[in-house]
Amino acid sequence: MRDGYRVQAISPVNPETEHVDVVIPLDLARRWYKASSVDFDNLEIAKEVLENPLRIFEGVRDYEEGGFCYVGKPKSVYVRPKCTAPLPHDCVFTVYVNRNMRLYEIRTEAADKDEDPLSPKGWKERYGGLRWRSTS
Amino acid sequence: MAKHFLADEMTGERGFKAEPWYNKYGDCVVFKSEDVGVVAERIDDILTLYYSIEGRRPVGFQLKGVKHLMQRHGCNTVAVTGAATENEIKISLLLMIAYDAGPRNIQRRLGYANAHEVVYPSQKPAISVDAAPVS
Repeated sequence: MRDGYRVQAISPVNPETEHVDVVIPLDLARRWYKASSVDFDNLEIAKEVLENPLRIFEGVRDYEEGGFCYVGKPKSVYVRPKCTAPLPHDCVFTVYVNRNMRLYEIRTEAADKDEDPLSPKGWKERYGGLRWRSTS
Repeated sequence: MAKHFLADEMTGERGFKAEPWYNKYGDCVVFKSEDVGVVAERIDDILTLYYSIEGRRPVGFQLKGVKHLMQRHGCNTVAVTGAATENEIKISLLLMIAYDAGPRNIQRRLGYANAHEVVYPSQKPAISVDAAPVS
């Protein structure tokens, strides 16, 4: 039995030339399905963000090396089970991936309204650095 | 509505459980009191509070770097279960350990108090305290 669903995403290591598989662990997806169904629904949004990110940050954890944050600005997100609403205008959607390229967290966050509204608030202090940004 | 891309991998009923759990992929403990989409607000390196997108109510939190926190305090394992008696001690303890790991300031105190209240909602979470001298 496979352990995860693979999404082709821009490689954070060689963003200009390579793609990598980001794995959505099925045990995590099943946990959300049975115990946090809005998070399961929002995996649809996470997949969209992984496939079309606007920013990729590296160094997302203090006590663990590696890890990346893919950021997007989807039109809508799930706010209740099977129910979407527009993404708040001052927010972005973030997908966190560990050093083994396993997705572990998805959520809406406030955007950096001062310098880069397509990045999460506090990105300069929170992350190791900006790895890639969309030019389109 | 289009079919979810993981629908064929799921069995049983969709649902929700308001209980803390340990996410091994992120080494974090997560708690949500409602099955709603959230906006995350980072309090410090460890604690992130969750607010509902609709209405911006506090509905949960995430504690990061849990193994590091536990090891720092002499614990070798992370055990978060659904049993109320287990949760009460361990989640409170985790929040206290996490708070102790950083600077003591009002923003962090309020953040950790909010996290505690989400897990243990009180019927009267706030009281007025007379500012006059103790009589």
